[in-house]
Amino acid sequence: MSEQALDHLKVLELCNFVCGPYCSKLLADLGAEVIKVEPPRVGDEARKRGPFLNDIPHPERSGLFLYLNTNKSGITLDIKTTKGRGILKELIKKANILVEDNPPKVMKELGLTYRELKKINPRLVMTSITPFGQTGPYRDYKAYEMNLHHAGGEGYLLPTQSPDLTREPVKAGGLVGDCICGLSSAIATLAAAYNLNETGVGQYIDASKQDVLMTMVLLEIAMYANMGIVRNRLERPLLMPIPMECQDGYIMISALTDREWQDLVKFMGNPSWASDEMFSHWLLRQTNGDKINPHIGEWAKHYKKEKLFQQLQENTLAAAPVNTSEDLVHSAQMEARGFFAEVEHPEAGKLRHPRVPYKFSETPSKVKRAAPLLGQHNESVYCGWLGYSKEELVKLKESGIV
Amino acid sequence: MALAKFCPRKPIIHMPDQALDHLKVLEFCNFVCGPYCTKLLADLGAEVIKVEPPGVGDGSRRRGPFLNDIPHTERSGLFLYLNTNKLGITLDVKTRTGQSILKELIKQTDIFVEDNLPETTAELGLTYAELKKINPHLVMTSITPFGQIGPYRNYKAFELNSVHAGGEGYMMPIESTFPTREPVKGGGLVGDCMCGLSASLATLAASYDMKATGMGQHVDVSKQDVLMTMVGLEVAMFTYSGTVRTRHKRKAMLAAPKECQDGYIMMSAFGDRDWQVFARFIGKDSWAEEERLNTSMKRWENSDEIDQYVETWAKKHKKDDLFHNLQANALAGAPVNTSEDLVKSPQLEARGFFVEIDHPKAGKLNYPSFSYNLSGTPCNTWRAAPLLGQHNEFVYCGRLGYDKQALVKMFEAGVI
Repeated sequence: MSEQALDHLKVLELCNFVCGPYCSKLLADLGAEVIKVEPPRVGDEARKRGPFLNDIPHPERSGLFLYLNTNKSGITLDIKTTKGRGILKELIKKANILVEDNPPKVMKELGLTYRELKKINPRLVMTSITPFGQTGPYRDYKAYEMNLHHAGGEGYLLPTQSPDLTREPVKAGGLVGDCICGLSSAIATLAAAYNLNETGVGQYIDASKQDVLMTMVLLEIAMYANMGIVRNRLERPLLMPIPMECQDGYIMISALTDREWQDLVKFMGNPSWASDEMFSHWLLRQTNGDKINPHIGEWAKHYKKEKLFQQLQENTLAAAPVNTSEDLVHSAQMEARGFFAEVEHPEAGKLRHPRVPYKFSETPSKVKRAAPLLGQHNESVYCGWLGYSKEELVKLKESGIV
Repeated sequence: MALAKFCPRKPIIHMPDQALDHLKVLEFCNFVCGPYCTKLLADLGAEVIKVEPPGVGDGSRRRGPFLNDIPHTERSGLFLYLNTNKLGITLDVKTRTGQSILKELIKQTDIFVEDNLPETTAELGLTYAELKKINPHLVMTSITPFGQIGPYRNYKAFELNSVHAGGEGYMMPIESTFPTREPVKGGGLVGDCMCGLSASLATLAASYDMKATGMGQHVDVSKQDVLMTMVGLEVAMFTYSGTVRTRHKRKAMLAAPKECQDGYIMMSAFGDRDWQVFARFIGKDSWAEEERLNTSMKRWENSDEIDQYVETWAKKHKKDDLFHNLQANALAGAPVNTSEDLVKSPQLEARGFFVEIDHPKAGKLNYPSFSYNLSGTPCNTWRAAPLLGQHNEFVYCGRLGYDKQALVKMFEAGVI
């Protein structure tokens, strides 16, 4: 049995910021050996973004970078130089997978297209993650997570059930959009790696972030494609579509079936309003949702969210509190699952990181090491993998190539 | 085919049609998350057999949108999308016979994906500990709201609940001008799709290892954990520094989309180079030079002034014009697309994003296809979602060797 599921898989990452690094982080957290290639001196853009530990900006203390690059080795290399590209190709010869996120025209200018690279490594799986994919009129367009999230069509649906119909659309919190794209690219990459093991043949994966986001908001898009209906974020009368306020936060309660509705009414102590004919079956409750919601809102105010959550669950009703990050870090469930792993980092010290969201019975995922310092593994990769001598490495460093 | 130019001219050895050909998957899931997980595998070529309860089928068959608003269990848009490329059989696993037939199927499969609460799986005798006795190579993936261990393991939650439990709702709507309004969740069923994606990745990793070592294993996916890894930063910030970020409005430049004549556009200008180009682009050449705006920190301090100007300016433009002009200046930006914009997009047309699939009850429909193209093993044939029990004969007679009379008896007894 392998120690981790993806042991022996060698991945080279030529990516910046969130999406590509998240893709290869997922592979690294599953045991793959990931070498992250960063431009000398400046490094990955994420090193410049907060949150910084104790609000002190430092390229080795960016929370974003530290989270996205656990379990990777890091080297520096200037691929804009001919020498740098030569070294990159040596690395590609030894890798199973290359993940990159540069605009197609940049890769072409650098002579790093799949067509070129498969000549030097026919078994290579190369994954390119770009905002709009490798084909089509927008292929070289530039977009960050904020832009793409709206391009993918989700922003238009948000905020759902908005009481202020005139406000501008919003996007989902955090960097969820880029994470989804990284996740999706990791699946495609693993499928190709699986196929590589079966057949010995590598291939090229063209992942489009816009496409990824669209496959997630499936229904609204399919509705237009097939029925010509455009759904947006406007308010519709629905039963409990939004969280209800409690004494100390919010809770999201669901009662979808007749049985669940009856259980909820019973749990609320059979209030008289609930016996109204217009709430007697599912469809009626949905269309008269705006008449039910204020009653439940009034009732929920008397509870604390965690207490209500547990009592609803005891009555086999689906519900969950609206958790803040504080709630999550202190959650008994998270503690029982050992969700947070403590990792020591030379600059940032001991930090707690979220682990992978799945547990493997035989090949558990490990947080073996913190994000690499800029160029931390230059020696082990250039000397160990490629056989350069220490003197040669010093020369490469002096000429600014690494 | 747009990607043809990347295809190897002559494969070195025989290449399967699709990346996951020969991988056999058994799905015992309901609604969105589990079915989306196996859909991703099916769309990559795996043979997925979906097990549904006789008579009623998957719960998503009863959810809209229904084609032309006529409710019918074979015409639910949700079910049709989530179950493309799968085979469908019916089986009542609450009966003894049903359980033993399921085990026969499990003996023949590589992967078993299920989404039942741990207590239900135990009651049905379908725990990994039991199943690995009959198939040591089995990769079993269990997807539940809170995972297989911990005090909440048997708690129930739908997508709406899970998203808030995962901490994302608390961040939304971001930049809210109404700090008092309640949190919201992401649109559509994104939360469940993310969990399906994550489960699919873990399943593939375990299969990769199974092929290498011959050993199966159990993959325990917690939806709450998935959602937390996606909002990693806010959660990590609390663990790092005790700060709780919320959805309240924070000072930031170009944090929200700007209204245009015909919708909204989301523009960005990160870094000094982009700022200078952007300032000229919006007709404020002086801003490109001004010292009070020459660092991102100073621009952040003056973001109210900048945003106010950009708001007025954007209203004079159309969103698609702005999009293309921004891009021509190598600035990041994208329109806030509606579903109509997306279906009509020349980019998606060029990528062949929508595929037409025929279905006996729902007819020809356009489906979103792939977010990735694999050059060597593209997906060329799409099969529509199975009718309830459509492949009973194929699987029970073809795979397990039951004769047709046995099939009739099982049907009469309500087992299938």
